[in-house]
Amino acid sequence: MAALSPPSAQAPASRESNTLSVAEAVALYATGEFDAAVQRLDTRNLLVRQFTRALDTWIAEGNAGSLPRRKRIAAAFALDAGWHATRGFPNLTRSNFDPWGRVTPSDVEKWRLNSHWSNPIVALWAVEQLPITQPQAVDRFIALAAVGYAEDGHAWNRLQHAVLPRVRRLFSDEPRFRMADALARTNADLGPLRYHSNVAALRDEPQPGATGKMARAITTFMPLLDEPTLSGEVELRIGYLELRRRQWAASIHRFDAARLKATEPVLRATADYFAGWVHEQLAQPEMAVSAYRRAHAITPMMRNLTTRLSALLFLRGERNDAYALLDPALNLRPVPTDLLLVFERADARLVPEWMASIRKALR
Amino acid sequence: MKVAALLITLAIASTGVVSPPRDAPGQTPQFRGRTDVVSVPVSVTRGRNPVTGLTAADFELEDNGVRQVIDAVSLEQIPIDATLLLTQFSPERDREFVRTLEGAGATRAQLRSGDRLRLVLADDGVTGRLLDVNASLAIVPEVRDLQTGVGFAGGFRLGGTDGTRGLQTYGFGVPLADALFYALAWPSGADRRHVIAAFTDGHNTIASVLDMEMLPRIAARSDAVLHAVLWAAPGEGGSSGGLWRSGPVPRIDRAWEASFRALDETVQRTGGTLQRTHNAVEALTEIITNFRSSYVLRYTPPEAPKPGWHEIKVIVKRPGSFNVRARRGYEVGSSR
Repeated sequence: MAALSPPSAQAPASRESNTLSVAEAVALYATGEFDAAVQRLDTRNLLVRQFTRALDTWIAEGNAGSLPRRKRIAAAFALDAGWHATRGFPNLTRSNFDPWGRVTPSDVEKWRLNSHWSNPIVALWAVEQLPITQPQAVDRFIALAAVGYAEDGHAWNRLQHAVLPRVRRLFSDEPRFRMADALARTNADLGPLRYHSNVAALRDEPQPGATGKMARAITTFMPLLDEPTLSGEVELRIGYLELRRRQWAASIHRFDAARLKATEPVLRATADYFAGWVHEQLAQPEMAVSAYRRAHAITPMMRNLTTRLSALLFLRGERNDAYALLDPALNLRPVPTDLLLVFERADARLVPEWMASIRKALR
Repeated sequence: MKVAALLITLAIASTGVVSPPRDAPGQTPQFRGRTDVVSVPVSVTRGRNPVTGLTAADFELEDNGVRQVIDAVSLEQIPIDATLLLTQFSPERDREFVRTLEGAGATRAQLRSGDRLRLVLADDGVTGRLLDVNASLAIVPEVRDLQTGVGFAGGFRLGGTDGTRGLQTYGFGVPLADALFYALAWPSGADRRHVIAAFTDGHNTIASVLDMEMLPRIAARSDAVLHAVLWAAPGEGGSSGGLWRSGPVPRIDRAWEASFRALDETVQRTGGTLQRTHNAVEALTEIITNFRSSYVLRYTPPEAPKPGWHEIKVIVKRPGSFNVRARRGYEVGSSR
């Protein structure tokens, strides 16, 4: 593809000298300087409306022949820059509060690009740039990344009603969009998977009515078990719902299946983390230790997992081993995103991989 | 004479045999040369003053009701490992308390060459590190380094309400149970003594991975003596556990009370104290002074300790009124 115009060398006086405006950054992105473009974009006080309007303007500056490419570049840049802007604390360690049901027309004027609240707006804008028919291979990655980015922001409402209908029309064969649809519908029904970052928060009894909703959610996920690329993750998600409604044996059964079927290490680790917690509820500390150890072997620095494993080891007298695990995990910085957060944010875990594919295709 | 429960332990493994810590390279155990020796730190005071000059003959010690032959009493020159546990995130009183400590340099004044000082912070997470003994908490930048991006006096606000009217959360509160476990789990070494001063309001929150109910069992396996210095207690209202409330929230108050009870039991198991004070410097001085002048009783049970909880009682036989404080017991073998 032909290189587009380089960015203006003159940044506005109000910005720091090393930062770029949206127009400058997207133009730099178009030259293949992806990292520099997203890192130098001046996101201070940058509202979503300002961001997308500037991208609209940049797209319109090209001639008719370059329009599809400029749209793809702008969509990729929007996701890439938005992702980069929302990686900081607290977005990585917290579950943001769910915007579903509270979407207003003024959202684009209210939220900054570096807030999780911007995710659904930017994701929708990005998929709106995709062609209506005859998509290219890179468009699939843009669509996947947009969905993952929306899930990162818990944008279940916009994901279900705005983002997914568009991308499913383009890529009806994409299994991950089926999963995203099930997630959006069940999460909108159940509410956030949790407000807290550790599974121990589930020790409280489920809210009245939640058990029935979880049964419905399980029913929603069941058909996805037939999809080979999803079945491991689906087992995990059903197991988690069984855990939440305190069906311990059923949840363990699902976690065992997830461990066998899932190809992603982080999913196997999460299955074992959840299984360990269930074994603790069943007063089976030795089995809990075994499960936690399996998870720990994959993800050794997760604070919540390590703390629970360490406590069980300490209680059975393995005090030095317990501390040797605990101390580095608590003091590691930056704090790794917890397994439960990774699980909750669904395809967000795959966004970096998809963004890499997009960048490769745009070069 | 006043009887107190106490206890010891030291790497009592699941086999029921005391084994020396493996992680003390270069350190020679002074008391624990035999694998079945039990060591019990004992504090004896009259009023608020430590009682010195006692010998083995002045003590009587029972392990599960069986009187033991005390092998040694040491008024130790043993180096102290001091852990200061500070809970963060409370908008006002916590910070005021910490500032008091900072200003007085209280920590530095109480420690000697050979002692070690560890700081454990519980705010949005739990972190800890060893500090130079000559350091004081006035080294705030170093403390800040523990939490990249989180100001020591930050108190930033995340989220909104948790659905309960009148409650706003600053993050999800303080993971007190996690922090106490981290503090208690430190294997400070067989030739040292470990005291923990936890400055807290006793409120464990949902931010914690562990339940406070686990803490007494953890304390039963720790060598440390835990003192909790409280600047607030349940029933007093206001902020707690890093949760700022503009009015009473019964659900939160109940959780605070339950957490507080578990903290009390944990402290008692280690032979520590629960102190309600507004004077952090005075409290810290008293804790370390008393700990430094405490005794260490050592005995060898005639038979290998049976699995389970071993209750220990210590009495000072001398005439007079003493406050004898020691662990309440120790755990042998696996426990849940």
